[in-house]
Amino acid sequence: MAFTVGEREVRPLTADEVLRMVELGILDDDEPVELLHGALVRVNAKSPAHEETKLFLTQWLAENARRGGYAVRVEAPLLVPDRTSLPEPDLAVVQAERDRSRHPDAALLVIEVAVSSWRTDTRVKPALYAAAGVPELWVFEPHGKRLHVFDEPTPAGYDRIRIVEGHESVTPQHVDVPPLSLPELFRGLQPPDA
Amino acid sequence: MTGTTAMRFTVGERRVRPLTAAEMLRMVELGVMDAHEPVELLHGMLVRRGPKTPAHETAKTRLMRWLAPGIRDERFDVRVGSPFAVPDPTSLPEPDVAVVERVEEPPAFPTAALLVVEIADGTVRTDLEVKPPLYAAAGVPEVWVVDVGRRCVHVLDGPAAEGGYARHRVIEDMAERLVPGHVDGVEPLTLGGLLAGL
Repeated sequence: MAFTVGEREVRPLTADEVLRMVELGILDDDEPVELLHGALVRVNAKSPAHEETKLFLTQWLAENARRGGYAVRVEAPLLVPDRTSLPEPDLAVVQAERDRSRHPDAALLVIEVAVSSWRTDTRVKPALYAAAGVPELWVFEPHGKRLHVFDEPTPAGYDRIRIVEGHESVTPQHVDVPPLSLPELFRGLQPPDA
Repeated sequence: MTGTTAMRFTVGERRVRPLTAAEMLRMVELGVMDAHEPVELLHGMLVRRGPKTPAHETAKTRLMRWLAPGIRDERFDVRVGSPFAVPDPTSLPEPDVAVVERVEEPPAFPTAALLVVEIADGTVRTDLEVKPPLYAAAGVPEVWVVDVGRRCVHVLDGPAAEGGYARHRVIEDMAERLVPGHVDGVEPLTLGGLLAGL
């Protein structure tokens, strides 16, 4: 993905530059942006459905974290091979034992909740996670009451995408956690215009 | 700055958060970015500058040599490839040649110009469509875009605060004299003289 201005190419920002900018106070570390393909991309305002879904999932994962030997990171950077991107997934399940002096470069499961950022979450970010070798990506669609499961990562993207409907339960393939009941997760979540 | 001069970029459905000129200057000052990197900030994006071809550099030198002796008024300078501070805080264009209001104390980038010249050598759309609205918003009365490949000069004048220039004419006759509308005292230069051998 490359931007142009007129016929001239945009020179992408790198993750290292953005981290330095935050460290030096050029960018505010609270600013809701993430680096995707060399551009600082605004994070949309968070809807109730987005936050409720994220909260439910965080609690479900956190309850089993100690026993499962993993940690749950919320909206935290994940290092990916593309050095012009530094995505911040809604949730990332990482190994509890890891180098804590830097952001993780691997995850067992990445979760995005797509309310107003469907195209970004399903067409832009999956390839970044796949290239990092994240074995499984879940993209929740709370208003459609569905889960999209991406797996079989390759350097270019995920080879398989399947849809889990809202009446089912689902278990991550690489995280030791009891099944997640989608009816419980989606209960009471209404689209903004409903 | 709002209005038609702002270009918006998106990733998926999400908006790009433009960089500002102040942030870019801090990046250079604090060593996050190399000061010599050939980029300029346009609409919040660091845009790579076109290659400096021999034709581009020769045309630029001719324009500078032609304009500089004519500028006897102490209030103006000829600047070459130097930042020009436009009202849009997310852009800091660097025109190839500009007759600008002198700024010395305190040092700052100029904000007013009598003439801006861009030499397009393969980057006509950027020079003709992207940058002029930025100059128009700064009230620059006249912009020339020298298209070396097509052997012509586009003359844009009549700046509007939003939306660029009201008039656009193309000089293609090699015998036609190039006459800046707002710079006094320069000797005649024909299009053929500017482009000779290029």
